[in-house]
Amino acid sequence: MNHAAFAGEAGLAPTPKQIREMERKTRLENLGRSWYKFSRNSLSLVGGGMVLLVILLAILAPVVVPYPEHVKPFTDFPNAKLPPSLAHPFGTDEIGRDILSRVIFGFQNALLMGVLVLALVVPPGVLLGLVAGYYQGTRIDTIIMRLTDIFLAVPPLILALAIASILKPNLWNAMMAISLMWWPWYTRLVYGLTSTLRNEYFVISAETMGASTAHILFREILPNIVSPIFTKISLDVGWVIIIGATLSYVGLGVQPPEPGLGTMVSSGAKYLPDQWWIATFPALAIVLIVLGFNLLGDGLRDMLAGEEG
Amino acid sequence: MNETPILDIKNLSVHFQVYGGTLKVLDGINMVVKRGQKVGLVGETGCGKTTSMRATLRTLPMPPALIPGGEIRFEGQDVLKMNAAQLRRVRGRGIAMVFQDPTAALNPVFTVGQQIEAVVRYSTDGRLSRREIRERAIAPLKEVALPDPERMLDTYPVQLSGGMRQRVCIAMALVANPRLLIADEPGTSLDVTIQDQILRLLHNLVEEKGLSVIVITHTLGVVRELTDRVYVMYAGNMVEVAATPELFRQPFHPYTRGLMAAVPRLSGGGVSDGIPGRIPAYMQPPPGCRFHPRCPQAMEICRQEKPAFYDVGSDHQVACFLYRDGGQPGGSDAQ
Amino acid sequence: MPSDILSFTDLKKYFVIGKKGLVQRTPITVKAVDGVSFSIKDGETFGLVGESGSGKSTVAYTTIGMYRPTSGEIRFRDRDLFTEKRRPQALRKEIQIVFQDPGSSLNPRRTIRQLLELPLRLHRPGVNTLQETMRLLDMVELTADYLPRYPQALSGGEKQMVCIAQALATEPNLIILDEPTSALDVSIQGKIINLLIRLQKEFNLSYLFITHDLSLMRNVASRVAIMYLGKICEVADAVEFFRTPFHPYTQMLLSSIPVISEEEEALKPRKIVSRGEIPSPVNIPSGCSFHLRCPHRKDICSTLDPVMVEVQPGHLVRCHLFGQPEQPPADRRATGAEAVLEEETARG
Repeated sequence: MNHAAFAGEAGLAPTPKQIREMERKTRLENLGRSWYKFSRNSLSLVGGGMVLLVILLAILAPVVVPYPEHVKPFTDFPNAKLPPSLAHPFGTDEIGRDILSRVIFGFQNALLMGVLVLALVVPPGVLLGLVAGYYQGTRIDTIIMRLTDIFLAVPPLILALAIASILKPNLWNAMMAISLMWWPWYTRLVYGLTSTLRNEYFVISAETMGASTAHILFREILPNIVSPIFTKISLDVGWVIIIGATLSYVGLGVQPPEPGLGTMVSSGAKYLPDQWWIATFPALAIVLIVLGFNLLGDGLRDMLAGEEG
Repeated sequence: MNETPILDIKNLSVHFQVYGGTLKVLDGINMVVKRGQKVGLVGETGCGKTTSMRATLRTLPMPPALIPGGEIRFEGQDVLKMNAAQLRRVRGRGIAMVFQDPTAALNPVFTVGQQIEAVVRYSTDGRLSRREIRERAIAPLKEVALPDPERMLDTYPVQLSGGMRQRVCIAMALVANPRLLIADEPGTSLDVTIQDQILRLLHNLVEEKGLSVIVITHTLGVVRELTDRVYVMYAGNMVEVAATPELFRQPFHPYTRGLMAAVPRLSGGGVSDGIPGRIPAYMQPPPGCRFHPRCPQAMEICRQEKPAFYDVGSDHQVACFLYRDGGQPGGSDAQ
Repeated sequence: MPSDILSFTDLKKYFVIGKKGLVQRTPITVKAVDGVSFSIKDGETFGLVGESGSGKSTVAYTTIGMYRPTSGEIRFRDRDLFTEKRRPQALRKEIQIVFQDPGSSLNPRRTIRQLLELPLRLHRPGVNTLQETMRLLDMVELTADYLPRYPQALSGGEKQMVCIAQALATEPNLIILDEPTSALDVSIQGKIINLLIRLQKEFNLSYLFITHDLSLMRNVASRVAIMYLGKICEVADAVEFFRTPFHPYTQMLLSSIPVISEEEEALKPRKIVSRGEIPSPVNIPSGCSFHLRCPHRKDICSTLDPVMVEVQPGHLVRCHLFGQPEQPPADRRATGAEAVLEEETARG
């Protein structure tokens, strides 16, 4: 056996540990290279920063928020509709609650919605796309993709409104409604990616070796298409949040006194333009989240664009 | 006759800035093409031959590419110092390039006619009438011996065979009557009988129109059939240059000799093991002669200094310390 | 007397790629392989040569199980490869393939170790994978420190060697090599070819070697067959194939190869200028499919397809210039493959 000098020990066969060590080093190096590509675009760094800020605030909300009791049922009419000041940087709303505290908790609800919806939507959407793409041209493909087309044909907001109005209006049901109309996009995306990859030599090679279909879908094809999927997820968080805020705005999502950003905009809208802060700060918060995720998603896409080939 | 060469590349270096450092790809190369010559640029994957031609047309993305030094003189003018207007007159009208893969070079959603006419429009700054444009589109199609040029204008590239697509690409390059044609791996993706036709077409074009041609290839056989003069390139350096029959009669540089030995022979006798090792990493190229790590005849000086070009015959030069004092092919202790 | 390890009997593979006409809906058929018969002896390297559209890759892919034949048989050691719907693992391990593009033959998201472990897991469970992967790398003269690397870190030649190691992992008896060095530079080609030759001797492998590079074929194969538009034109021992080619297509091809020395020029047949384009397999000319480009064509060539005859011992040619039987078969229409196809398209 001839083994090169491996980890400094000439002539000795490398142990599994050493091999795993080298694999780890290679993965880290690849990460470093990806970070380099990502960080060259300053906008994506800004986006990443914004997202990080939102996430941190959402996680640390109970600790960081100046007036935690304001997110529960609370009234303080003497202090209602106060403009922004040192005590209340975002002012107070029509019942006297501190807007900054409610916005930060609003982040929590928004992110929760984004994460949960996508967690619900991505696995089945991707799975259907994989299967349809792999069996492209057969009945399975037709059935899955026509089903996808049907869901895509219904205007999303109408679907969400219909579902939300049949069920009791609250955060969870709003999430269900959004999930139901969101999964087809992942199936479409993955279908396209899979059917392209399906005829690559390494897939054929695995097939002729006799690998199971599950192996081919999840171990050969899927690892090669995670990049576009992650990019889409990142961009989607922002969009799910906007749709959730829209539902809340029309009263079908987060119900008062829960702090939902959309709900806050809607109840504050009637106080424009005099008490502008009641609606404006929650709206800006929505912009922050969505813009942040969009910039991050763009940056991810650019970073991953150069990696194939 | 000492007229200005049509292309004169002097001491050109091209670097690329990437993650982790700088790739020093081209390392001060020189190349001269005279009017009416067919020059071959031979080298393997990654040696920098396509980079040098893209630098000539200034189609390298600048970053990450940068050109720390050198000149590229087309008909006496330095291309690297030209402004946008001057460049536009050179690209397509002075120098035209035919790319390696004709299928990828043609847009599948436009007809052949639409694509050629687009070239005509760009090269004439939109001064011509529609009828004139159409005439100028048909003329090069005839020159490349395509059957039924009128009908060809309305066909889509997908309807054509590989050989015909290659001819269309050549026709598109000829539209503006360039003086220099650069052909990147002509016919490589095509069958050998069709490649044969394409090479003969290029030969005829040179004879009839007085074109100068640079043929980039990694196939020695193509060079031998088509060119008058050959540059052999390795890892961003020119290592040998000679008149074609002379190079094949007697290659001098160890790399050239290794390449020739590696080509399987029709006479049989097995296949040689080729050249051991791989091309160097451009991030940290080997000091001195870039070929020395793989060279069977490397000497101490090869690790330290870069060799200059030494004369080993009339119109035959080698960049190798073995021939510093002229001498026998293969060095002093060759067979 | 060495036996046949792989035999092809009138193999046909047609693809229906669409339908023509709004009302009639006649199927557009590509006759990729149209009646191919030959056999490979145990331990030999059989060369298959041809240009694009010749069907040589389709022969390879059908053998490997990617396609099912439209008609005809492929037998491995006299065992029909297509009796079952899904080829049993025991047969799969015997026949492996190395593809022509090493760049896309290896999953870019797997390490070399994982890539080599896959065939081991599938066909040799219970073997010590770490030891075995190192042994496989050793066989292709790569060191163990390649194991944790990803394919992108390897050169083209190294990738191809990993592909060869993958093929060897199942301990096959026959390896199909589909243009194994076409995507590589000539300076590494030799190393891989010689490696393949050494492995053949060491493990008593048989090779089906497919390439369009005739000079390479001359040095690798013991017997050579040349294909044109789905049919074999000529079969012979390598030396004889190159020294006395009979079929006009073989001569045309040989006369067009770019060689690099005068002595090789002298070995080439007289130059036949190839005129015209290679017809597409969708539109195969009538009679002998080569007749449109053939410098020796006769009237009969455009109407009747010639049959294969043995012109000299071991040297077969399919051409009207060479001893065709007196009576053409009575009915040349709707033979096996066409009938199968008509049935399939009738079913829609």
